[in-house]
Amino acid sequence: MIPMNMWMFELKKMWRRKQFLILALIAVACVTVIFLRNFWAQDEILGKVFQSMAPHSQSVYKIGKQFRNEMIHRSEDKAFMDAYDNARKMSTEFGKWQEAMRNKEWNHVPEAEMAFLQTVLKHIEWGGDYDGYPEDGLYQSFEKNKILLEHSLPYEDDLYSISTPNFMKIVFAFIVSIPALGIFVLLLGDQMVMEKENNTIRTLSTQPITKWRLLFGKFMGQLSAIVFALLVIFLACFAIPFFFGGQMGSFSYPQMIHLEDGFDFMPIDRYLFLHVLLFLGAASFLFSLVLLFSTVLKDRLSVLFFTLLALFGGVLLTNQFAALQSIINPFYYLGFQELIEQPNRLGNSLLIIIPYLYALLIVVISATLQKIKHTAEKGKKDVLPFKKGAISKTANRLFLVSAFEWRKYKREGVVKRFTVIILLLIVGGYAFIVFSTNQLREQYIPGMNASISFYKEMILGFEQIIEGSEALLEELEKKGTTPTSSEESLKEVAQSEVDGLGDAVSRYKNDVERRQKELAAYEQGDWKTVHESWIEEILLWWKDPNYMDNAPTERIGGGLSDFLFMASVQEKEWMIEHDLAAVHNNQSLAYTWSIYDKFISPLEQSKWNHNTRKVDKTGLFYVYTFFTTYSYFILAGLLIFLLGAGMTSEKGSKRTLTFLQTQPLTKSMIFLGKTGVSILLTASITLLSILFMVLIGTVSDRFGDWKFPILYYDLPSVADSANYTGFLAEEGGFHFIDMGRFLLETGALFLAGIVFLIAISLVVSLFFNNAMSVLLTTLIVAVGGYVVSTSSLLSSVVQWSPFTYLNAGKIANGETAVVLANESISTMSGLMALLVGTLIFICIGILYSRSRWMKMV
Amino acid sequence: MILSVNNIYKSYGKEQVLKGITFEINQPQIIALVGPNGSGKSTLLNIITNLLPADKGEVKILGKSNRDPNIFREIAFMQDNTVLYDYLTGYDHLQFIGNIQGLSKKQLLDSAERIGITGYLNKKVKNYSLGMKQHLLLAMAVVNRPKLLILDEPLNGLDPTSAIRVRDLLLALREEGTTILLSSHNLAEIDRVTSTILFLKKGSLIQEDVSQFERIRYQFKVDDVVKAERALIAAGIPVEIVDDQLRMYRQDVSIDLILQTLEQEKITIDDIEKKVLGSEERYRKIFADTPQQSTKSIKV
Repeated sequence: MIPMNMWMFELKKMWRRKQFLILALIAVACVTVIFLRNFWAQDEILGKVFQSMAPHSQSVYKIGKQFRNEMIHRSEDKAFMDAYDNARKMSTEFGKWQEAMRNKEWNHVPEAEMAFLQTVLKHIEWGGDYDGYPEDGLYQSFEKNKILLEHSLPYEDDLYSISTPNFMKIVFAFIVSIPALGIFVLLLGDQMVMEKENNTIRTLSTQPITKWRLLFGKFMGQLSAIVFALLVIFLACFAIPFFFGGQMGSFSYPQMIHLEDGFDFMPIDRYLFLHVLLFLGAASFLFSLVLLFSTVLKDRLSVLFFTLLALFGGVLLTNQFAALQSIINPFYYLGFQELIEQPNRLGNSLLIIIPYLYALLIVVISATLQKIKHTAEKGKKDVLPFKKGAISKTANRLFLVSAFEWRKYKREGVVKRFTVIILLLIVGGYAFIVFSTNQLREQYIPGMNASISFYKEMILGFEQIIEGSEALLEELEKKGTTPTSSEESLKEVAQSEVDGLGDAVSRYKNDVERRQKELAAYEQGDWKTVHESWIEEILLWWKDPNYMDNAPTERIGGGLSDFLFMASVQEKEWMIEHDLAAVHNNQSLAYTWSIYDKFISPLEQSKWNHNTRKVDKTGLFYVYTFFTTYSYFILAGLLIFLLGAGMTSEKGSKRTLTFLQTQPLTKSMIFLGKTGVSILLTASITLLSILFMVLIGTVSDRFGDWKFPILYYDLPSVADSANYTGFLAEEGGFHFIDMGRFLLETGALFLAGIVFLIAISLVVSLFFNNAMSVLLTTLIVAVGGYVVSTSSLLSSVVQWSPFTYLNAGKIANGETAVVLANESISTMSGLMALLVGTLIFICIGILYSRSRWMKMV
Repeated sequence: MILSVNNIYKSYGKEQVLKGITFEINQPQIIALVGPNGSGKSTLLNIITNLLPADKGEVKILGKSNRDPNIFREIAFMQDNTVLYDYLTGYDHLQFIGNIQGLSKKQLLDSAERIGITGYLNKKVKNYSLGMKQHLLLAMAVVNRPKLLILDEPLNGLDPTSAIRVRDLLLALREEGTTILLSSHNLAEIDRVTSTILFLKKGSLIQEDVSQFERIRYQFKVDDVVKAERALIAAGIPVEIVDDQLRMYRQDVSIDLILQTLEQEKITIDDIEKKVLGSEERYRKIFADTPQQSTKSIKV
């Protein structure tokens, strides 16, 4: 039987602490933000749709042209004419489909698309080719439209829908997800350890409560809060579209799932139901870990840290290692979307119960380990006084308050523990980098050998075909008589094969030779030859018409940008010029990521971002990776949590602030003392972390290449000038800067940015009694400020906003300036804005702390 | 003028906790602030020390506004133990005060010795018992030899020995010229040290000089209580029978006359009980109409 009394008691405590209110507010805020994003993007849907229809437009045109060309010779052929009529109908239906889209007749679109699909199917049935759809895309679209028509459902965009069921799916993808689990842990994960810290566990220990009831009560309380949050999300997904211009939609809307031997569709309500079940299973498992860590660890920071480490580490390792992708691994069940959309990964949907079983087991283990009876800790050893107990000679009270703040941090030991955690994270992150780099390097040679073998086989096959065709041509020549029409056709085909395949063989032979040379150079460390080989390959994809670049980007006709190709080539030229070692991407082609390559599908975009990311394990490159993969958010978040809580730890139940107030100190002095020490500690820990990253990379591998090229985006006004010395591609201009300079500028901006955020959080702490509220409010202000500052609406004035500079890497490489078309955005202006912003917030804090509204008691 | 509290008003929402509190202290003495739980004692002390703003009114300490943080060089406020940092040692707290107030290390150690906390000064506060924390708070309050010492429930959690020690310390401080304003529930101890009691009733202050209501009561257990009462009344001695015993007050009678009268009537005295009455009786009279518990029904 569930221990109802403890469960209800936990719910009551959470209610009194307003945790339900906070969860509800966060849930509603997130749903609202997503709805607004979708609502404002409604006009973009058309653009997206037309881009996705572009391949069909090309295919329809190509087919039409083919038929028109052949009609001259085949107008007597009835089968051909029927096929031609179908091709014309295809063009007409395509036009109708486009028209329905253009006029936003979403109810009519499935019908129009279906009519078009039927003509395509007929075309294929009659032996034609259609390349407008990838792989099974045609049949998937056909089946989907069939369901839409059956249930009289309109067309809906899967990214920007504002109809309730699809909108709910989008919301779930964002916020009923792994990051949300992390936030739940931060908000709810300290319940048990707080009982120990506040000693309220002693109250419980004098009641007839077994540890089993205590733990189960806590566990169920936390899960109840999550269920409550889900309920609020669910209701908000109904209410917000209803009140703000969305549509009701249908819960029968089809969602595609991939089977082992094909695909199928499931109604969206089942999809959402499975998502919730999986999420609750993951939450159960995660909070059972929270209980376990609360049992063995003493302080809140350690419990939260190890839980989050388990969560993200478990997910990362499971994604990386195939051996861990097993149904017995509880982290396997955190890939909600993959498990729903690829049911063969589970096999049996009943296996969803596994994370629940793990949760139960871990709670039982926790209860076994848990001690409720705490004996008073007496007789602890003496602690030496600071400076042997001497009194400071200075009379400067601000200095004395600051020194006292520092001493508090030292005694509390949190900074020490926290620094150890950061260093462990750095080591862990580096281990992952080393693994990835070594994996890429180890895969490179076999990969190259495999592609050389592949091309050699192709060459062999083609040569055989050429041989056969040449033999046929010789035979036909030898005949001497006037060739018949079929013999003419045969001769034509044979000749085209000899010519075409002959070209291909020649190209492939060059390729094989190049790759072999590249492989030998790689093994010998002859980086110049390696880079030259990569340049040659990139040029082929860029310039050679025999190489088809059909990357599914938003460009008309698809394909990668001119900018990308030029930058990729010039980067390798720079590497040759400065004699730098090759650095691998996650994929075989050494492209350089640029802002001008946007993919239609977010999944493709994500894959592209991953594939073009460079990986290396030198000290400098580790720091570069830290800044460019947003890992710095983790450090920033931890610093705000530790040092930004400011006044909150001294208010509320612990009134230590009033002790300070009963000394000859002004409130503003107390605030400044805290601020100064927090900022100094922030700066020190940040610098220490960066230096440690360089050190660990240097010791393990090498320092790195100061001159490694970093792409820098030039503004149009710079690129168009007469004395421009950079490179000018179709999309824009660029040049390269040293990695050393990039890291120094990014590091300086990052440091200034984090100090700015700490200043904000310290001011926010004047208003709240709870550290988590301070953290969340600071995050909201930071994210909100960044989003507003980097929106195009305010692009002409955002150089004054410190929030613009929070993404340090994008400032140091000129990206933000180009995207916002603002010449005044630079590293220097960023440092100034952040400094001024920090001072402004500190002044606000000083003024508020002096005011009569500032409550200390 | 040491402390001047003038027309202080304070409300929490609709509930007015303090209504026009006015009093002055002009010479060194020990004054107690007494009232039921929730009557506003701590609120008043927090307002006096500017930890809470008053809705209306003014406080002056040693001729200066209580808003000047420098007054804490001359006054001290001992609060409850939630103001202590659990992870700091007792000496860390004293050292901070010493640094801010420009005291010497000797002064810190003398204060610690005077209170008797030297033995655990270098242990972290989280390892202290309630009494030890109270001692530390007291040491922190007296270390700078304040002219005005404000104490919020100083005797909480103290064993009898410590309570006596604190009482003696307060009396010594008064002799040294320190004015002490304390709030306490320990009426017996208040009687021993204070000269003036401020009763806080329904937001208003009733000031009483202790000497005005201190009385000694006698109770006699005799073999014939009715006969004894008749005889004593006839002798002009005011007496009453309570619980089958004779009760009378020292201020009203002469003990010798009582004994003489009872002897003459050949009445045997089995037992005599003497009791010193003071603030407790006065407290009862003042707060007789104040309900001990709220009569509002609450939902559970």
